[in-house]
Amino acid sequence: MSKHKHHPILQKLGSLNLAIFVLVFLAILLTIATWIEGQYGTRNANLWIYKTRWFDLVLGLVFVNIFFATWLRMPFRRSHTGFVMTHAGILIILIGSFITRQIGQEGMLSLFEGEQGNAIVQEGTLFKVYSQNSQIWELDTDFFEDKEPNLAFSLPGTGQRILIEKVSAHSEDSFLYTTAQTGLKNQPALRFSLKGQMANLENQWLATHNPKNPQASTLAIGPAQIELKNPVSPQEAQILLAPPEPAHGNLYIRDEENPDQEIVLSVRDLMQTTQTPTDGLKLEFLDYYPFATVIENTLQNDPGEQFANPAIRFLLTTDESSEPVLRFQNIPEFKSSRETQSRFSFRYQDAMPVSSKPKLTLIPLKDGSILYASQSSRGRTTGTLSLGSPAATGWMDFTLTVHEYIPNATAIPSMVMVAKSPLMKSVRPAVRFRILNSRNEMTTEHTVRYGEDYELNAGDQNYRIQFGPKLLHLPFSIELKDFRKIDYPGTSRAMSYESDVIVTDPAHAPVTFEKTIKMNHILIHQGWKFYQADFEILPDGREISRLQVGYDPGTSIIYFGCILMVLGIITMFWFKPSS
Amino acid sequence: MIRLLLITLLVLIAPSLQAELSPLEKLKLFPILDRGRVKPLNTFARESAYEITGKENPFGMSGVEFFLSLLDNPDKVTDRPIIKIQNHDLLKEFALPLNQKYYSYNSFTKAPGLEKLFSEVRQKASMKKKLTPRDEAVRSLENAIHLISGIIQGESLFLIPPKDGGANWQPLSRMMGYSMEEQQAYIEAFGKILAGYHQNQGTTLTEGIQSFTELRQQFFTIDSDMQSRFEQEILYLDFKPYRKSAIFYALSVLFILFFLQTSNPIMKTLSQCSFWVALVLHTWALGLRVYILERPPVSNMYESVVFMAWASGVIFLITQAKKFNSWYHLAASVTGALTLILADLLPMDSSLGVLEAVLRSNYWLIIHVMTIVSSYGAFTLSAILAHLYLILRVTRPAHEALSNLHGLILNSIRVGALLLVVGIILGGIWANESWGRFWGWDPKETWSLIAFLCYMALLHARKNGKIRQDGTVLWSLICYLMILMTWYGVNYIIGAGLHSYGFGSGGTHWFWSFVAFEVLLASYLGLQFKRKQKHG
Repeated sequence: MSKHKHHPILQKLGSLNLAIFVLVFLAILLTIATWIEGQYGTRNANLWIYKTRWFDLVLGLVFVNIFFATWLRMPFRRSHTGFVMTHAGILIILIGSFITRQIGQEGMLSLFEGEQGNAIVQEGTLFKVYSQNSQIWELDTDFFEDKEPNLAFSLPGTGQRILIEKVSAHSEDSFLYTTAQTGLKNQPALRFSLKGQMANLENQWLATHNPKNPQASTLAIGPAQIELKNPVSPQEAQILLAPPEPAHGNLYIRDEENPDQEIVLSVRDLMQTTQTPTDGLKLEFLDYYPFATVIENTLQNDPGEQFANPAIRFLLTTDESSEPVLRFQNIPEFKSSRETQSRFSFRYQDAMPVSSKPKLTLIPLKDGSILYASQSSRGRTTGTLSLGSPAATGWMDFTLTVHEYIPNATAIPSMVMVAKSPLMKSVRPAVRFRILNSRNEMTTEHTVRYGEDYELNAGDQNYRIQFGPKLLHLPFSIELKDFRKIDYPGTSRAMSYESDVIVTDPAHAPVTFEKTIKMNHILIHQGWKFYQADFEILPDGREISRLQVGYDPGTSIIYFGCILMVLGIITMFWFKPSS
Repeated sequence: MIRLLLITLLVLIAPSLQAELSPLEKLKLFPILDRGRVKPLNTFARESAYEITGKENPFGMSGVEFFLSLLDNPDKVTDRPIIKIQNHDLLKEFALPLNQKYYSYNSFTKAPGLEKLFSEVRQKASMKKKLTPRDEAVRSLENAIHLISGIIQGESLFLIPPKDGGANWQPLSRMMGYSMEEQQAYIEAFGKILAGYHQNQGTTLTEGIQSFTELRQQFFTIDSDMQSRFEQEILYLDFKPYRKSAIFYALSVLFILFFLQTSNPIMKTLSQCSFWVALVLHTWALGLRVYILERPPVSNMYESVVFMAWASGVIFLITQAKKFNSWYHLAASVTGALTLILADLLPMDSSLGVLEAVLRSNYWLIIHVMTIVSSYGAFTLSAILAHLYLILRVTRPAHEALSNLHGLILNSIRVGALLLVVGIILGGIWANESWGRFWGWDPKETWSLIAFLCYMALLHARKNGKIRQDGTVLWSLICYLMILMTWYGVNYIIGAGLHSYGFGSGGTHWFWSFVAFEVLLASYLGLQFKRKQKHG
């Protein structure tokens, strides 16, 4: 090859100019990539840049440039030592990373305590078709997220085809409503849209009757709530429109010296003046927490709490002492440890706090008109809505428009693919597909959601369709024996979290062994590495440990390249005539 | 010179060496559990005082005295103006006069809707929305209110060791596991301390401290190791070695500037001595932090800034030629002074805190992070040198020091690049050990690579003759911005990825202004130099 050394193309490929271009180009590309990661998340940065074929090509260009730059300097002189070592080191690193990029694997293994598993979840989603339990087709749906791929797959022997119409990153259960033909009377449904800068909700339904969804009459949007009411009479409608009356409740006082008689003290009275309900007892109001909650060890008022737990704090003065006393309505047994024993005991009851959470109540009447009452931080507004015209809700800039009013509605289950919305919860990706018959005619539409199976009859055959995560089955299994989270003393800040696991591998001795995986202590088995990545503690107390799993055969090559490169750089910087 | 250095150090440290502990000094050494660490009461008191009043030693009192004054007659304390709030928007919301510096606890807590206000801002912060200065004031107010109530109600005073010898210290308000008599004894002893302080009676105070210590010693003894760490921690906070070090770096800058003007050799010696004193103080302070916290001093932004300055000083000492180079000396002094002053002035958390879980692997943390931060030190040195070069280049285009400065810039870039690439590789090894992969395009990794690529582009372009002396210097300014982006930007601007234990917010507009200034400066001077070259 050396006689071609002066070929202009090779000269160009190994030139300093190309090197400078590659360095600057790569720097700019990576800058864009990190910006994308900040804006659109790690997944998209990987999907659009780091894990693409063209990024392989960019790294390939780096390789070509360095390769020819080194080759063009052959035969090497002594003064080239540092240069050659450095650049050969980079070439080796690039080869190692190419191997990693091609055959390396990454995924996540989530296990409950006591659970055994070998399936690691990899990034991305797959649409799979099974016939008699063997997989006959799969489609990597990652690249088609929120797109319409319109790809078809022939079901063998049936002359029919599956057409993938749409892949959506978000879908949710929903219902459509139509006028009921029989049975139900006076169960209204409304179709409306809510528009604002923060979010835009189209085609939302509220209905007072839906056997499959008891919550169909309310819609929670962040801290705010929209509810549909069905008053039986105009009088009840007026009551619904009026602002709710808060009740501060009563304090029930029992005196040990007079145990049969309970004294009832109105908290409203106590809030106004100091009370002396009986001899030797003086009560003075201190605080009232309609939505008491303990945040970071301090008692606070949080109207965002789902259930109101009103609490009152008052100063109790008896002949012996004077001290603050706290009572919760819902935890009557609670007593501060500092509270001294006195002959009086207190119970707090009958309080009905009114949430200051934004709430919009829609009240459709039988004459076809719709009343509404909106509670917001700016106060309460009431009025009448007419179909098709927007009304201000008082929450930020949101307006609400009712498009349809069905006085007597029945629900039809449906599923909608929705655009990404920060207000939406529990949305899952979904795929919509159709079956095309042999004459290419469309038949019914089907939808399968993430994590679900779908039975399909086509021709006279049964197929199973699955849409879910990319799974990779390890040749061995891992059982989570115990998971522990250790905090810094006196805080809930994690100091360490660790998993005791049992590895079972029939192919290698020892067949089973135990190991503890924690931060900076990974498990390596047959080239697979397990790292303690995350954990979750469910409300019922069950613990899930998440282990990051990696298989990376290029690492040792990369290490070798790194050592060579660093030695090369040192040689270049230090054994060079200083110019 | 060394003698001079020793004398200076002695003069500095002497006051703190006077033994004979007064009762208050003994109280300062009381162990208290706070934010995950058993620390001297002095630290807790000073940090609380700082968070309430904005000063560690407020109103002419020491931190501990201020702490005692909070507990002295708690009913009156709530009416005393001690909370520092200067945000006018917030003060107007509470209808408070604007001309005061301090406001009382009650002037906020008596107003309705305080908790609502707090939770609003808390929610805003948890949703990572941008906080206005008023919101920041609300947060510091919340902090102050909770601190005061926690102290006066005893709920934050985790002074009681657990009976089982474990880590769950108990607050004075809830001594779980202790019998009524024992609780009573603790309360009495603590009451005596307060009474002694109130009546200004040394004997009562001493008695109180004595009996409290005896009670505590039944379940928790401070061994000599902890005792000495506590003493050092008090010394560290009282003496503020970083601030003193910054002063000496600044003096070094002044003297060397005089020397450059007058060529007076005394100025040179003074500057060298100041630099040495500064670096010794700096090293001592770093060592103290390591000794007190028993971990390497590179776990947050503040610590990395301070360590970076130290590394640049050390790199300067190692790489300087035998012959004194006043420009290099100037650059090193400016780096030290500027970074330490900035570290002191910027609102960075300088408290002595515990480590995030992922960083609890001292061995790799030491090598990886220290190497990377040292490379920042070398690059900072090169950036300061580049600015000196440009100042000289504009004011005296024919100065003979220019080519010398250029050589120094290149040298620090080489040192920085080597440290950076080694640091990146060590980071990869650490990542492989703890995350199971060598490289994962994590933003911090990627940005360190970007910065490295930029410096490599500079070195290659120089080889090619694409850029000459001026071009190298201007380009190095842009490269340094990439370092800042890696160091600060990834955590504070991009805010994604696995290095999340260092995330924060604040200062972004200053960062962008600096970036814009440097880019404009580099492009303007670049054009200017090019034009002159053509005409000349």
